[in-house]
Amino acid sequence: MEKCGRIEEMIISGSLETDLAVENDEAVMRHITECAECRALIDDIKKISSKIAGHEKIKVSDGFDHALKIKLEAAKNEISADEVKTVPFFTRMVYYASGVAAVMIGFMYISSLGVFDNKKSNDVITAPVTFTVASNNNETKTVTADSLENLRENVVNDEELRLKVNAGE
Amino acid sequence: MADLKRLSDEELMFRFQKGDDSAYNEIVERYKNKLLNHIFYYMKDREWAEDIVQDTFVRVYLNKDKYKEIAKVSTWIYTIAINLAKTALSRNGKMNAFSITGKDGENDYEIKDKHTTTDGDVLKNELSDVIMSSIDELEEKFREIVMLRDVDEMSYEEIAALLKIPTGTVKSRLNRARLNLRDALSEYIR
Ligand SMILES: [Zn+2]
Repeated sequence: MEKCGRIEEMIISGSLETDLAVENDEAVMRHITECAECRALIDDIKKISSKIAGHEKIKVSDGFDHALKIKLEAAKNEISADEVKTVPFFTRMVYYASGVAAVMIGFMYISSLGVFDNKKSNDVITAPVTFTVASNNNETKTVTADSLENLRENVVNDEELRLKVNAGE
Repeated sequence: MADLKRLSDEELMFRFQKGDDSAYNEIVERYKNKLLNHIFYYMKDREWAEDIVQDTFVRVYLNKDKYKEIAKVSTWIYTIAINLAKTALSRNGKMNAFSITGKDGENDYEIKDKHTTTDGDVLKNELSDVIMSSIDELEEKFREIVMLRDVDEMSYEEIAALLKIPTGTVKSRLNRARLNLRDALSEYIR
């Protein structure tokens, strides 16, 4: 039998419908009724398509939904942990500024008591004094001294406190 | 909650974006098996394929705000799933399952005739099993389109959007794939 190339050409160009449910135009249909070879070709193709569509499909396993739920929770937790880690720049600056301000207010308070007075003050406080300085991480540090004079020394010499302020912690 | 079943994918996505997690669950229900079948054909490993499908849904959940209604939900979800599958396969050095041999030439639609099954095996199998293994032998771009159309039952337009090719190309590729299958299977379908 001589090969009829007509329908095959249309198939390759995409102008012919090989979908199961789709009807082709009249000219094609007429040719198909006359040409056994093309009819067989189209029948074969439709048969293959219906077999593919009807092929047994697999289904997710019983544990699928549960495993998905666990993965989702883990992913959500990871995201909220990331949010905590990445404190926005602006917020960090506010922490830093408030920390510096707290230390400054602390010094101003101390000076208002005359600690920084150039004339050596004689009014020595004998009782231990505690002083709280906020670092810029909203963390407070308590410095204790037995006199205002020593308190000033303790604050200024507190390496840890200074480092914290400088590092912007 | 029963009325969720009647909503379109896009309507469900909209609800989910507004914070309705039950809409998300409905999307998962609609797509989990479809995606599994599709991805399974690339991974050839059921557990691995399930893993990819779960990861796809995790991404859908986390990236819900990135979905824009200009695309179909199916296109978006399949794109995520296929990308995840490709990444997983390439990490495992099995990327050839996805590789496209040659450009869009006209003569590259031959079925590789390295049939693993012998005639004796084939006769024992169901015809549909034979067809499915013939699909495996198709060149990637043809296999993909047959899967999307006949297994996943996507419309031409959905496939065109997913593969970023014109609808006409979808039709012609699909026809050529079917023609190849028919040539390969001619002795079994009579
Ligand atoms: Zn003919």
